[in-house]
Amino acid sequence: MQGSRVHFENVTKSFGATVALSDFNLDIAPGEFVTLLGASGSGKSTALNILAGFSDATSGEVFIDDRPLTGVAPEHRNVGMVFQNFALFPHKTVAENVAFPLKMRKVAQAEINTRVKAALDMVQLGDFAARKPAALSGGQRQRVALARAVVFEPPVLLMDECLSALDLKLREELQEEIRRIHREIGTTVLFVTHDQTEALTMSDRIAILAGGEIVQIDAPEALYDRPRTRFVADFIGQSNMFDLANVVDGKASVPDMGIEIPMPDANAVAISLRPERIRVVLGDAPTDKTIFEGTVQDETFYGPVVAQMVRLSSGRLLEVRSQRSGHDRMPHTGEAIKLAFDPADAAPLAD
Amino acid sequence: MRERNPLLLAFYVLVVLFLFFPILIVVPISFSNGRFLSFPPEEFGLRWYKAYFSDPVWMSATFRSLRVALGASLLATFVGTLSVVGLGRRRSKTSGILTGIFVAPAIVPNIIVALGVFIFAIRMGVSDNELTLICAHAAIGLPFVVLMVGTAYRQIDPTLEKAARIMGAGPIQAFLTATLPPLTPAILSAGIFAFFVSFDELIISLFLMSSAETLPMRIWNDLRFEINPTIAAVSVFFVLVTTVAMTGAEFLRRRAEAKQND
Ligand SMILES: Nc1ncnc2c1ncn2[C@@H]1O[C@H](COP(=O)(O)OP(=O)(O)O)[C@@H](O)[C@H]1O
Ligand SMILES: [Mg+2]
Repeated sequence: MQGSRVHFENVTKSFGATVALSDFNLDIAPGEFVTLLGASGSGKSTALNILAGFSDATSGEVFIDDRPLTGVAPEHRNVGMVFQNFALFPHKTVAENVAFPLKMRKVAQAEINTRVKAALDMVQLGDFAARKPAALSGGQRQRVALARAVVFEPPVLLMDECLSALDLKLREELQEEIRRIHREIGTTVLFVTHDQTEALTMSDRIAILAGGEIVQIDAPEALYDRPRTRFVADFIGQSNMFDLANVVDGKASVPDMGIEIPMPDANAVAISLRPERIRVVLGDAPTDKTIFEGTVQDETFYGPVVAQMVRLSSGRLLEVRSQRSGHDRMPHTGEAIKLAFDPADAAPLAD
Repeated sequence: MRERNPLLLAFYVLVVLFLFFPILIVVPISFSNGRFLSFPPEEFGLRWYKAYFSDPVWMSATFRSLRVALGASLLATFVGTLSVVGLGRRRSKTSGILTGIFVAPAIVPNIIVALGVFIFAIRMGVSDNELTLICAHAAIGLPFVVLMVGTAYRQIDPTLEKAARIMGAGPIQAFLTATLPPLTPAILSAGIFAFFVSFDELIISLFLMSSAETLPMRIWNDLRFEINPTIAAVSVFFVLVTTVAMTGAEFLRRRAEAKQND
């Protein structure tokens, strides 16, 4: 099966005075897995509902493969959807639930049977076909919902926080399963979550939403390594952010660290440094790294990783995370240390 | 077993006795063979049951009541369910006002409704007409349908219908697939309720009907002239029908409910 291209063009949606989506633009390539990540109320569901046809955009247009969707009812959009609360029909068996979209498409009964069986086998629920949803666990129900959403091979699949009702272990299992199914059927996926780990592990690209706008859209690695704003740096993972001064001639100074670093981006006003990109230096300082100094104030033990809170001479606190696999000893609390980082790891922030 | 508080038990027995007292009196009387209503009866037999079942006037009143109640119940259930769905899930000012209007017949005394219906029916020349009575009874059954079905409707997850739509069902098909089945137990209960609202309604029937009597009217008219044990037999029959119907309905409702989560 081939996924479709999905395209949001200048979509705006207001509910009275509330602007749920403002000038939303998103272009999803066929077969791509894109995640909308944002806090509650940031407009994720609104975007999905407009694509599904459950609500109309106030202005703008949505396209699937260049077909404008305004005025097209949900049942004519040929889109699959998985809901957070499963939305299985309680009075139908698992098999009847999965057969429903095929029935609606007037597929012949014999073919329905084979396809339902294949879909249930795909989510490892072949033996549960005759059960009612009430007789299934939460994870199994969501698997049925998944099978039902893909059984008619929709070129576009939508998932709205479809794992957040499940506990962590099940969630991870299903993440794996969704990725596998995505690989197998090649449909375009628009996935919604407020869980950054989920977004990072599953997506081809992540769009970070805030206040109804996409603040940054990038591949997970790029998003993590190169956040462009303080908001994104803070939203994804842990980050140490430092204001810049005198950004001129490809250089900038970092007053809190008392150093100068190369800074090719003339618009940068601050940098973001991930805690694991900073190294504690106890012996000779490496010459190819930027070095600054501080005092260990506090230490938190995470198992494979140890986090140190280091106080800089300016008074700023900074977090450093070190892998415990190294042979270096760990500094003690109160010890004055040197810290090193590669200036290329400092992501310039535009605001 | 939980330990029982004797005081509570006594209270429970008293309440049950109080509720069943009329039936406890009526049942023995209905099986009396005497010519007059007396308690306790001196001689037992089925005389008055025979009288009831062989009297064409009583029988036609009984069948009329069953017919009217069935019609009123179907009408009230149909209209009431559609109103609930039409009003939607979201509470708005309009839906509040409309709900108020639908529920009004439950608050307005039946005698007022009767008067209104009577005047209207006379004007339109449709008094002493079973269809008119069916409509009037449907109106007083409607509030119960709107309240009972409405409560159930608002508990049904609205995403079920969305799910049906996105899988290819049109709005009506989505309603039939996603909403109607979980709503069925409530619709059944409401229908039974509306049936009995009509079946034992007297005042509106008295105003509206003259030649064609319903069962409560027949009882009423009979009581006014002479008191004989036919009434007791009728009452027992009445209670029996009610019990059987209610039990049957509850059975159906449970089965419908169980169908969703077995
Ligand atoms: N039907 C609605 N009526 C009024 N406001 C709404 C409605 N749906 C969503 N909103 C508002 O739009 C904003 C975005 O909501 P939503 O898309 O559901 O956010 P998310 O899914 O990211 O949590 C929120 O401020 C929310 O309150
Ligand atoms: Mg949401």
